[in-house]
Amino acid sequence: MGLREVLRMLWFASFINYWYNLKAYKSEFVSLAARCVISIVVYYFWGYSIVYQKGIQSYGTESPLGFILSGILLAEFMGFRWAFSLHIRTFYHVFSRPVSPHLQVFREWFVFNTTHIIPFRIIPCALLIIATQRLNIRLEALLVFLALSTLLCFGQHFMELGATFVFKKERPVLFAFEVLEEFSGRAFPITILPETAQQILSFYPPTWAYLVWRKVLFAGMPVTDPEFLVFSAASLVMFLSGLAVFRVGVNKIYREGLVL
Amino acid sequence: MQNKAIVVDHLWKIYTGREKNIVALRDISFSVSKGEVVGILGPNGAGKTTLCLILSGLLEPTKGTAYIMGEDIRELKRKACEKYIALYLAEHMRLWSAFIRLPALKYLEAIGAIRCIEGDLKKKAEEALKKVGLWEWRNEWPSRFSTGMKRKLMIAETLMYELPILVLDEPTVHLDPISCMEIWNILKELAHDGKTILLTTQNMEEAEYLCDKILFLNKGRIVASGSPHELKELTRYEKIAVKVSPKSREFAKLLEKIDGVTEIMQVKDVEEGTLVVAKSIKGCVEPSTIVELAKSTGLKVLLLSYEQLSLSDIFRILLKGEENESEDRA
Repeated sequence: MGLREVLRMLWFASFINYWYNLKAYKSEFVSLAARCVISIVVYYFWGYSIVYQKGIQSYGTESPLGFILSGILLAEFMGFRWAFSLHIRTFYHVFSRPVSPHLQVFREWFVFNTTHIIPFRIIPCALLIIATQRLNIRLEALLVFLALSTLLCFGQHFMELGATFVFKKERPVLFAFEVLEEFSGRAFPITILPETAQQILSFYPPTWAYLVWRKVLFAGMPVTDPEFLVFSAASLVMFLSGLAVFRVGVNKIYREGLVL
Repeated sequence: MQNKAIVVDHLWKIYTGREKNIVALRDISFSVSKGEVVGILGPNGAGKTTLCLILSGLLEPTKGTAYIMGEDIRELKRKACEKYIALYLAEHMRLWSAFIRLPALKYLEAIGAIRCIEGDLKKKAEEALKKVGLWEWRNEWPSRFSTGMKRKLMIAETLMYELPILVLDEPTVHLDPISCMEIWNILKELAHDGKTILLTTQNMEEAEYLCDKILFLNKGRIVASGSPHELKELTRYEKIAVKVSPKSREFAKLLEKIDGVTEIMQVKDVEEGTLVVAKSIKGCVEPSTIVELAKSTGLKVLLLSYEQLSLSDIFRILLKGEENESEDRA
């Protein structure tokens, strides 16, 4: 595949598609609103508790709004699990075409971000944060964080896809990951959860992503901070283990087929 | 071997279940020459889709192997789909939802770009649309297409890869007769252009219309193979249709007692009398015997015809034979 083919693919996958899909903005806003409601409901019930207040402070901010908005922003950037065209039902469709499935996942991430996420979710959310919060960002830390969280995002999604192939179940597996992500610090600080749950979640890389993300935004966290280093290592581990699980899943279907 | 596009060599596929194993293919061997159209006929669960998936390198055979253009499928794996086989699985294929609001021509161009097809995409998309007869609809959105048109668009997509072998799994399933005929004509045209086509179907008419060679598959085993003509000759049975007047369903019972008649296939009251269709051993039942039988019971023969069994009849006989055989074994 030459450079011309790559550029042509990106052109079709993003810009052409974007102009023809403008109508989708309504559903995107509805979906974003649903995500906000979860965070607000949690705040309504726990927001005034000391545990919640102390919890968000451990993320580098004292503002519940900042905490909620930054959580939504990162979740929008990373969570595109429901938008895959590569899943169990279309496994043979995708795999029977002369293109790498890894490229397919990258392409979908790119298409989904450029056509739906960036214009309708990330930009409004980022503007809201800039308008309402006092930010303290080190540029190099922000750039490194974005690069690593992209890596983590791919790892996570390869892992999710691999898991759906291994278990040959789609919605329950994706839902389990969705729940795990909700509990990893997106909508509320994990300190309101029982001790055991917190310990378990510390092994789940997105937990570190949500922690470091807020500290990068609000507390000026440098890349040399130990927590940032843990996050970096967790992203790399997630990426590599995601690829490994994906490979295991694909090989399982090659051996066994989709007969359950 | 050089002239062969596909060679299947003692192929087995066993799915491992929790409680018991399912044997999907049992020691299958056959070959498809370049430019040939071969149909795999079989009931549900016969192993047709499994065979398509193995030949496309998407499923590992348990035992035996297949060669695609001389290359072993166990080594080729998914590369079979990159180098030789354009696979179309009607039950698994979907239009790509991100692009269904593009005009059909742009949709194909977009898919071509996404799949990294090299060369002049616009030209390829135009040719593919013309081939499947959707040229007039090139400016319409695929989301507004009927099921038959969507199928044609997906076949157009498979054509854009310009691979030498087309493997189609039940391409006309759930389609109305007109859409079926349109797709058959597309496939006929492709065969005429020299494409090697392997298609699975449950539709005998489709197989008879399109295929140079037919393989009957049942419970993972090839029970018969040959050209449609050879298969029809293969059987020692023929069909006798008798219309008697006045109406008499009793006549069917009498007809069944004649030596050579093996089965009453149909008894139907029609306007002028009763129509009885019977299966008999070829050349065993003389027309005069039937006329005399009717006369002796006070009936008049209005119509008497001898017909070759259709592929559906032959398939039914073969399936029945298989069932009896397994009962005997049990």
